[in-house]
Amino acid sequence: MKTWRQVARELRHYDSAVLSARDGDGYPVTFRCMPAPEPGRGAFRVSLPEALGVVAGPAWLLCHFHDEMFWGLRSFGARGRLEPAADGWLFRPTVFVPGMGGIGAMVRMFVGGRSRASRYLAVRHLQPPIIRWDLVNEAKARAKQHLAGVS
Amino acid sequence: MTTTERIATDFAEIFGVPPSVGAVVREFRSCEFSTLARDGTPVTWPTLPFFDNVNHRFLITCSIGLAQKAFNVRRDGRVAMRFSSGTGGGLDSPPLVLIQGDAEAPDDLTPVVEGFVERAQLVFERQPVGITMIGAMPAPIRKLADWYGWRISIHVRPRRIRWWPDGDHERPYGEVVL
Repeated sequence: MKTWRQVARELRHYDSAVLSARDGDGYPVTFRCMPAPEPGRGAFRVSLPEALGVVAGPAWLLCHFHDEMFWGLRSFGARGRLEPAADGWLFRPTVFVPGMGGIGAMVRMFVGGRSRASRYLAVRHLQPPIIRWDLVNEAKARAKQHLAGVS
Repeated sequence: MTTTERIATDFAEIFGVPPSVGAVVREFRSCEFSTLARDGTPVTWPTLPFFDNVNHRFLITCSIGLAQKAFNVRRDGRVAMRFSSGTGGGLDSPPLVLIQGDAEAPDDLTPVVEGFVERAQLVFERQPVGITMIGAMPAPIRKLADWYGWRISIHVRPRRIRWWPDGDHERPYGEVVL
């Protein structure tokens, strides 16, 4: 129930969610939905468009947000299972996965990211690729010019 | 008689889908990208896709420090891209778009230089805070954040495209199977 509570608490901050499951060919299939809390069942009821051909099994719930300027990024995910029920489908979360949003998430990403990147290179005996700052700066200058022209 | 064959350069033209679907692919700031974890869970996070109209596939990149989606793709190339969050895209009643495809994530970390400036420019224009952040970053901090720029390319070739007009799942949908 701890995971269910975490998901229910975070879900309140979003208009809708994105649920991912798999179809009969095993490909991921994703749809927008409004998960309805079912605390008694430790799950969320979801309405599924039949045309998607979704099958029961492992599933993932994602909520994310960005503003008009593609900033203010927030998100979280939840691993779980999609199960058929008498009254529709149920998503039963098993693991809460924090995403973007807040200083904590930023610090977690940068501290963990750097060590994982170093490990990635070491395991494969690779040198760090060269970052083309000249191209980044050119893109930045062009974007500034474009944005100045638009405003 | 000579004929001049025009080469399709737009997503909609290339795959024979309505222009409104092409507009979604072009204008949405992000898509929800699903890859399959080892246990089969379709793990989904928002990401920035770039359509490569020369090779008829999408380019998605991830840092080697946040490489789970690339690891997943290397194990199982079945992926999906859902365009369902239109904030900032400026489109009126866009369709919901779901693209399923086959992905590959080569080991080579050499940056894709072709079109790099155009892609980065688009990101800066859509996310202007990036211009400020990079500009304000002192050199030592920039050095500490370099791992974020060490990126793996993920190429996604669409195999099935579906769209629901006006963002309504209850309406009949359109489909192209490739």
